[in-house]
Formats: sequence, structure tokens, C-alpha cells
Amino acid sequence: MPGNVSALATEDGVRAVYAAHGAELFRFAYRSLNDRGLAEEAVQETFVRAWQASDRFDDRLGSLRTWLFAIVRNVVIDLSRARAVRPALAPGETDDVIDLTDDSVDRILGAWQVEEALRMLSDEHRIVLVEVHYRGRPYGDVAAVLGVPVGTVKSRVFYALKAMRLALEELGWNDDG
Amino acid sequence: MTADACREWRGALAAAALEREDPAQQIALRAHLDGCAACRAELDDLVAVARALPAADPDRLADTAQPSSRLAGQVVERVAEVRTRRRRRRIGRALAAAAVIAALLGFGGLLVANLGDDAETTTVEFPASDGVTARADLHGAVHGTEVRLEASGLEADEVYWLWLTDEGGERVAAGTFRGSDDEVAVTLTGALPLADTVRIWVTDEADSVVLDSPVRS
Repeated sequence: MPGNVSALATEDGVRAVYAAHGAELFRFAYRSLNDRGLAEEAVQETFVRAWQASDRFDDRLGSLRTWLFAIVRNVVIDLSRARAVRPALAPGETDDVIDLTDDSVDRILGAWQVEEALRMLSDEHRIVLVEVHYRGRPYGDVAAVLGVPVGTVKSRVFYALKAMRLALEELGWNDDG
Repeated sequence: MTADACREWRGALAAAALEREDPAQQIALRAHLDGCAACRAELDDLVAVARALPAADPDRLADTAQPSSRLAGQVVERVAEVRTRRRRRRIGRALAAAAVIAALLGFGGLLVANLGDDAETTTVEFPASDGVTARADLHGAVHGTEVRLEASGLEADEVYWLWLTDEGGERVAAGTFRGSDDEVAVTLTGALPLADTVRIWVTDEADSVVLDSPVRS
């Protein structure tokens, strides 16, 4: 995985960085802007800004991924503000794009990070975590639906949380806050 | 990591972290934690993860939107465009410096005339917006960018502003014009080199954006 911003110096490098991070940047932008076209525009703009500021990137301060997400966060705010003051481009175009503030985009980034980590879990782990924690279903009910003992469900929840921590850390999360 | 002897407590630790403890097991778990530093540390780790969970919306987990297959190529193209623009700008500055030197040497007219002949031109088709359709021909000139704008659907007698924007977001006014029931055709100039222009847009008297398009020279 390309972790050095100098990769952006060549066309192949840009393609490699896109292959590693493009889809997740898009998903975050789409989650924030609720508009596919605008989300793709955000990804393009993120790569342009990253290339323009590549001399300021210091990999001792953070990963390329973290740096790209800091850029896309600002791009999303800029695009949402530009979109909020602009009339709809075509009849029927959705007007769900809101003027995002720094706080609201940070909340979305936090939510997206946890959702992305949940997607990274195995089905077995994700199902028990969603059913037990998010749906609030009793362990016994979940065990009955899955056809396994209650103890197995409890054990899976434990390993799901452990896997969740690894996934979150991979996505740049830390438990400082 | 919890020692093997503590394996039986794992489910209870996870339940405690999620605040889903079995009341019957709660006292026993507390007693175990009092004497087991490894399980206390394990519980702290699990609680930190559990605290992050409420941020997510589980109904969104099935939403695994992917960008279009064209996006990779578009990203490469956009970066290449900006790279080329920056290179052109450097060349332009070098040529301008050469022109100044040439002028000082007495044959500047010839060099400036040649620069004018090689000036770039690009055409922008604005996305239709609220019944307004427009296109613009942008011509790079020594004094900035000359814009020939043809638009229809604008409000008669409304005053419009034409703007150009550079990569840094700085906007330059290219002038004003009045709308008409007929097609409007105006030529305005903004003091921004075409190579530096990344956006062209029009605002109305209320400062609302009426037309907007990127410029890819």
C-alpha cells in the first residue's frame, strides 16, 4: 500500500494511492454530502489538493491515509457550503445537501469510521454486535435465532469487540477521547 | 491479554462493557476483577470500544456505495491538468521575463506579438440552471482572460457579475452586464491569466450563483 505522498508525483503513483484510498474517501464524502456526483468531485479535489500540498506532508506526523482524510474533510465542508448557496442545477435534483459545519462533519467522520469498522468485521461478529448492542436483543433470543448456545453468543460479542478495536485502529481511531 | 484461566470471564467482560451484564453474574464478575489486573485491563479496552459504538447508524451498514469506475481516470486526469497548468505558468513566467529582457534589448514587439499568437482558448458549456443556458469562450490574452459569454434565459434588466477564480480560490471580477429577454452576448475581461483560471461563474444582484462551471484549459 502506498504510504508515501511522493507516490503522487507520477501518474502510476496517483493510480496506486487512489486504488488504496479512493473508495473509502468516496464513501466518507458520500456519507457526508448525500450526493454521488458531489462525492466524486470531493475525491478529485482531494487528490488535487494533496498533490499541490505534497511538499508539506510529513510521514513522521501521520500516515498518508490520515492526511488524505484531513484534506477530504475540508473539501467536504467547502463543497457543502458552495452547494448550499447555489441553486439546484437541474429540475428534480435532490436538495439534501446541507451546509456542514466543522463539528457536524467531524461527527459524520466519527460515525463513518465506526460503520466502516463494523463492515470490516466477519459476518459472525457483526451480526451479534448489531443484534445485541444496537438492536438491544437479549442474548437468549440471538442465540435461538442463530441456533447456538448463549455462551457462544457472549463469546462472539467479546471477540467482535476485540476485532472492532483492531478495525478502528486501522482506520486511525484512538481511544484518547 | 486475559490469561487462559480467565477465559470463562470473556463473555461477561464483553457484556459489562456493553452494559448488558447479567445481574446474577455481576457480583461474581466484580469479585473476579478485584483480584485480576489482566481482566481489569481487558475490560478497560472493551469499554473504550463500546463507547465508540453509539456513533454508528446500524441501518447504514448495508450501504457500501462504490465510486463509478471512471473516477480513477478522472482523478489521474485532474492531477495531470493541475500539474500541466503549473508547468505552463512557470513557462509563462519565464517567457514574460524573456519578453521584458527582449523589450529592453529593443525587439520586444516581435516577441510579445508571437506570445499573443500562441495564446490559448478554451470553451465552457455551463450546466443548465433554472432555465438559463450559456456557453463561454475564454481566450488567454496578455492582459488576462477575455471571455465571450453567450447566455439565454437571464432576467431582463437584472445586473449580472461575471467572475473568474484561480486555484487558490481568489476571485477576479471580469465585469458586469444586463440580462435580456433575448440571448445575451457580451465580451468581458478578467485580470487573471487563462492558465490560472479554474472556475467561471455568474452571480445576480442578490449575489446568488446563476451559472457555474470549472475551467479546464
